Amino acid sequence: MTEQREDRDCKALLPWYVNGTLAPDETARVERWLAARPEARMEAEGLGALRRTLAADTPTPGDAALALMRTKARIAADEGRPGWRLWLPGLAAAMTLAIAVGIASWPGEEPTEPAFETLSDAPAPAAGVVVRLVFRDGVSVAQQDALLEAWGATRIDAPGSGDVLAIRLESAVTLDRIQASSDVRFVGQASED
Amino acid sequence: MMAIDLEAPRADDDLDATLLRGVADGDSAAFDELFQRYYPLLRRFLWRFCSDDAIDEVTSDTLLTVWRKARGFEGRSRVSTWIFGIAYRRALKAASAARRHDRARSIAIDPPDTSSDTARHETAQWVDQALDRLPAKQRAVVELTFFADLSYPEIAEIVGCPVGTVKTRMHKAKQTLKPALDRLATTLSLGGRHD
Repeated sequence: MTEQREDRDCKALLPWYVNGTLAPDETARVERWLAARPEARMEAEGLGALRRTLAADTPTPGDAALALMRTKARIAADEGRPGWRLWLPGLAAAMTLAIAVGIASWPGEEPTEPAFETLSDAPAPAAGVVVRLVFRDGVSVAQQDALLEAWGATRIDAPGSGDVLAIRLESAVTLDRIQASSDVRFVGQASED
Repeated sequence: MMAIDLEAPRADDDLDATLLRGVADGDSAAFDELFQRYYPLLRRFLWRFCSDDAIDEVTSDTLLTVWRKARGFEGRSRVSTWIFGIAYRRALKAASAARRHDRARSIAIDPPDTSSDTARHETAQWVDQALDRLPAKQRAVVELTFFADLSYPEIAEIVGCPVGTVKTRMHKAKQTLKPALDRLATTLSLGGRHD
C-alpha cells in the first residue's frame, strides 16, 4: 500500500476515529498514521472540538408528554387498526397529566400551527357542558366514536345527522384536548346545562 | 451529552429490541417507553433539518411510523439505526417542503474575536452557523457522526448509500467547515481545554 493511499484512507477514517466507532484494526491503523503527522493531530483536535460543540448545542426542550398524547390520539384515530381501545388507559393518563400541569395555560412553545378553528372564544367547559364540533373530512363514524370515548364525551345528535355534532362532555376536560386532535376542524362551546 | 451511548451498546440495543417487539404486539406501555427514549434524540437530530415549527411534527411522524411498521422490522440492523433512518427520510421531505435556517438567513460569517473571554461561545455560534450552510445530505453525515456517534456503515444504512459516499460527503463537509474547525482548534490552544 502506498503512503499516499494510506494518507487518503486514514484521513477519511479520522471522523470515526474521533467518535470512537472504528473497528480495532482501523483504530490501530489511524493511530499509527497520526503518530507521524502533527497536522493530522490538529485536524483530529478540531473534529473533537466540533463533537463537543454539537453535544452542547441543543434545541429548546420539547414537551414529550404532550407529543406522546398527540401521537397516541393519531394512532387511536387510525382507522382499521384493531385493538385501539388498548390505548385509552394511557391516553387518559396522559390527558390527566396534561391537565395537572396546566396545559391549557402553558406559557411555553406551541410549535405547530393549530389544526383547528374555534367556533367561539368560550372558556374551557366544565363537566356536563355541551360542545359543538366538526370533524375533518374522511373521519369515519367509528373513528369519531373512538375519539369521543377517549375524550369522555357522548353524542347528543345521532351519528350522521349533520356535519356539526353536539356532544356532551362527561368529565372536566378542556377544549384543548379536543383541539389537539388533527381530526377536528372546528370546536366550540355551545351552551351550559 | 445527548449522544447515543456507545459505551454500553448491547444494553441499549437489547432494550430497544425488546421494546420494539412489544410495540409490534400492540403494547402501549412499550411504545410509551420507546417514545420517551427517542423523543429527545430525534428532536435534536431533526433540529438541523426542519423548521422549528416542524420538529415536533416530524418527530411524531417518525414515531408513528415506528408504531405502524414495527411488525416489519426484521432485526437486520440496530433499532436505533432503523429509527434514525425513518427520521432522516422524513426530515428530507420536510426540508424540501419548507427550508429551515431562520438562524442562517441573517448570518454574517465573520470569524469571532478569539482574544475575548467569550471567544469560545462565539466560536460555537460560528460553527453552528457554518453547519447550517452545509447541504442537507452532508449535514446529516456530520450530525450522525458527531452528535449521534454512529459508525460509517450505520450512517450508510440510514442515509441509504454506499460507505464510500458517506466518506465523500464527510470529506466535502470538512472542506466547507475547515475555517470553523481551524478556529475551534485555535480557540482550544488559546484558551485551553474545557471538557
